[in-house]
This record gives sequence, C-alpha cells and structure tokens, in this order.
Amino acid sequence: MTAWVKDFGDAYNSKTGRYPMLYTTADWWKTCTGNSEDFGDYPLVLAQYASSISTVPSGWPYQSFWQNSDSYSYGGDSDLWNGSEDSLKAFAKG
Amino acid sequence: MPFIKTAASLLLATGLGATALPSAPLEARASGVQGFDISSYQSNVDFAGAYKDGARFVMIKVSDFHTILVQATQVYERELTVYRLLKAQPILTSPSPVTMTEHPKPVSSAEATTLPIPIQVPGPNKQNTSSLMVEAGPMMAKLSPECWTWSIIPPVRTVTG
Repeated sequence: MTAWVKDFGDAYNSKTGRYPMLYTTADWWKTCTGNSEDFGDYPLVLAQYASSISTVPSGWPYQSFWQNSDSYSYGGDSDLWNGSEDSLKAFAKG
Repeated sequence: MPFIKTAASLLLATGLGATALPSAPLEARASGVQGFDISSYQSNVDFAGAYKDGARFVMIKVSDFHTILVQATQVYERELTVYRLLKAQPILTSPSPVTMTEHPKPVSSAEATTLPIPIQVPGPNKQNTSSLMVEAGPMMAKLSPECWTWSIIPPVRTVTG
C-alpha cells in the first residue's frame, strides 16, 4: 500500500510540483500502512467524526483539513481547515 | 520536509510523556475555517445557509463539479474558494505504472476561483471497483478497514485569483 501511494504521489509531484492531499482515518492509516511516517509531505485530510481530534495519524504533526462530520447542517460533509482563511487561500493557490 | 519528519518523530514519543505537540498546533488554530465537501448524491445543499453560518470553502468532486458550481457561484460569487476534486483516471494496476488524467480546463474564467485537482487511490484488494470509489468518496472513513484510500490533490493553479 505505501509503495503504491508513494508511486502515485511521486508521479503527481513530478507533474505538478505538489503532493496530493491524503484523506484517511487514523485507524485506516494504522491498519493499512502500519503507521507509515513517510507521507508528511502530503497534506493530511483527517476523517474523524467527533467533537475533537483524539488521534492524528503517525507521520503528521497535525492535519490540514479535518472532516469532522458526515452530516453537515447545510449538506455534505463538514470540513475544517486548520488555519486561517488567508492560509487556506495560499494553500489552494500553491 | 525535515520539519515534518522531526515533528512526526516527536509525535511518536508522546505516548510516553506529556508532550503537548499533537495538540498544540490544533489549539493554536482551533477555530480554523469551516467548509464542507459534497458529491452529487448529496443533493440538498444550502449554500446560502452555509455561507451565512461561516463556511468559506467547499470541496466538490470533479465529476459533479459543473452542476454544483452553478449553484455555488450564485451564492458565493467571488467570495468562495471552490475546490474541485478531479476524478482520477481509474487505476487498475498497482503499483506501477501510474497514470493520471490531465488537469481539465476551468469551467470558465469568469467562474469562481481556485482550481483543484484529482485523485483516488484504490487499494490493492479491489482494483476493479474504482467506480465505487468515485461514488463513495466521502464515505471512505467507513470503508477504511478494507484498505481503501481516497486522496485529494491540492490545487495547482488559480483560475481567477
């Protein structure tokens, strides 16, 4: 799994100069990658449906986005950018 | 990024002590920016309500982008940062070669904002069910024990700034 993700991410990075964001739960990361620490360059989109984050997967000091609910009041899934609106725009523009 | 590696190492150590590292960045930026992600099956979206309540971005899966963007731009106009999640080329072999779709053109230069990008990373166990991945993207957390993942690629360029 980690080899596959890495291959994909490297290929994407070579084309765009950026790494993909990685959407996962802490449990998935543990189960499927053995808590790999090799993907810190990939912005983390952490799915954890709770009122607060209890576990950030191994390899990241913090998440970039937190998907904290699959039932956002106005539709879809709720996400929180871990930073300011300016930093979000900066991130988006690469 | 050496910083990331170092921080990750410290993170591992927190189980043994009272290091505040994992929580410190979260506390420092606890408020964050509210947003949401939607797919076409999530049809009842109240963009105006979300905006009034503070949402400032939305992530939209690319296969649904055109339809949803029309609604979104009517509400947010230039205020909204729209992230477009591109639908990746189905990847049926792993680990290589890796193929990717070209970044599609923006809907129009007049329409909102920031251009996003694609990807889905199917796990090795279900290589022929990428269509499921597309439809079930936001539900990946529930499917996590089966070792799927869904990755989103950050925007690489801006349409209108």
